[in-house]
Amino acid sequence: MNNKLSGGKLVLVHIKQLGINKIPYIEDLRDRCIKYIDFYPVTLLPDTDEPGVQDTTNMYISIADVFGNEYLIKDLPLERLNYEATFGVKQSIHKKISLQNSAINCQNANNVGKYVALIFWYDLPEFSARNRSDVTVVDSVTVPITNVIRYNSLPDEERMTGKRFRQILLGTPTITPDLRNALTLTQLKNIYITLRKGSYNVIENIPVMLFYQMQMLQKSIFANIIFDMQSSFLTIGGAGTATYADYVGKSVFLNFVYEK
Amino acid sequence: MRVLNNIDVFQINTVGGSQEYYFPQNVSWAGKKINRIVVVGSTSQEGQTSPIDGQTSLLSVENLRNMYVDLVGKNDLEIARNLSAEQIIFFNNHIVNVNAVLKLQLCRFTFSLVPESGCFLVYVIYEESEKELLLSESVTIQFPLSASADITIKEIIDEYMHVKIERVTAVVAWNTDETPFYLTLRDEKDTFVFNSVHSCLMRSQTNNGNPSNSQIYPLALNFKDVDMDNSFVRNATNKDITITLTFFYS
Repeated sequence: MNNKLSGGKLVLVHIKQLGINKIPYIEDLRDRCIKYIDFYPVTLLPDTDEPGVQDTTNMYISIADVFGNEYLIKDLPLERLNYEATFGVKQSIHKKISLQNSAINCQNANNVGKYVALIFWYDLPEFSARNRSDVTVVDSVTVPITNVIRYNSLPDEERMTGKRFRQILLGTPTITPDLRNALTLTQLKNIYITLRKGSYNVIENIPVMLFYQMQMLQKSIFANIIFDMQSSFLTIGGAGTATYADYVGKSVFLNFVYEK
Repeated sequence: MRVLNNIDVFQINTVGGSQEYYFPQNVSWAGKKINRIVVVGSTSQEGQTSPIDGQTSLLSVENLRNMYVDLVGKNDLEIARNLSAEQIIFFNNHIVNVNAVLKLQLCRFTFSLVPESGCFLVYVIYEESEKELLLSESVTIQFPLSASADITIKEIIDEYMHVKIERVTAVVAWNTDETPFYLTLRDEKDTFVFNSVHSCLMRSQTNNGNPSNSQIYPLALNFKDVDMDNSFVRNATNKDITITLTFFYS
């Protein structure tokens, strides 16, 4: 079983009512092998001003098989997918699933009207590859936050062009190597990263906190994924509805490990 | 299981507001393949001192959050540029591997914020190997140690342990935040290097439910023919502490 990650996508599930709430159909995930699912408990979500679900009490998730006939997972407490509770130890799926037949069973009235943020890690062979070399290089990127509503592009670092990436590591300094102020850990919880290759989002709206690996018991390794720095970006959750004055002018610091 | 064969330490003094510090060059592991580098600062409230000079205070880990590492390989191949020290700090569960021979004169630490005056420790793990170790026999001992004092393994065995250990296969230290210490192991033929290893590298315990202070596996080593008289435990603080230590042996 290949545990390495390649594609990742944030899917928001609107909790419209108590009881069954279907997970929306996502074309990019159709016929894909889903490796893992993470739940991200946070208030501010990307591209929406609706609040996210944080309290997983009496919340359950069911995942249907690719034909929608039977459940691979039935009424699993959502807390089991909460990366903060499991310390990064992911629930293994490793099967194709039917999203539109999967659902979240909400028995918590406080969560009605909110969104559940699920991260689907899926197999993406078009933009990943096997190891070609044992030699890896660590490089760094400082991403300045200039815009709270639109995209904050990753700098176009020529030395990382065309590389195959194995790890993305979030750092939490107060001052970055190029002497910019960095976002605090609390602020970083509202930052999402999208890594694009051409017009395809290899990693889409993934919370950068999932790359804060030091506290996790399971390490996330990518299968030599490829993406273009100049078309990749960070966004801030909340769609510009909250007060973000503290974000602008600060930076996010990331280390990338790639194949030499 | 990943088994370390050799672990050496050097100390970097942060003085005079300098923000750039280079690796030492006259070291026994120069020209050898380095597996991992781990930086150690102080997390405890107790004043911790370096095992090298016995007096310089360890910097708090907050200082090390603003430290970065540049590593260059022997063929001038850049291995790491601005690698955050957080990725190689002792409480990180997934230390970034080096796995290269380093050109030491080009390897350095830089700070983005002037650090306080003090020092930090850099542990260099080299010639690591993969081995199947059965960690079945162990002995856990608890003993008091005066401020900045040391005690040999021979004295520990005679007074507290009553079990003869010749081949140590793993060590685990407990309450490492409150009772930090250094362990030095030597063998009679000087085959292995295990110099002043801080107890935080041997931790295996959650702290306030935070797994970042635990390790999935104990620190595994393959240390034969321990020289009891020249191997010792040293108190890392300036106060009297009680140390709890587990040896796995065969």
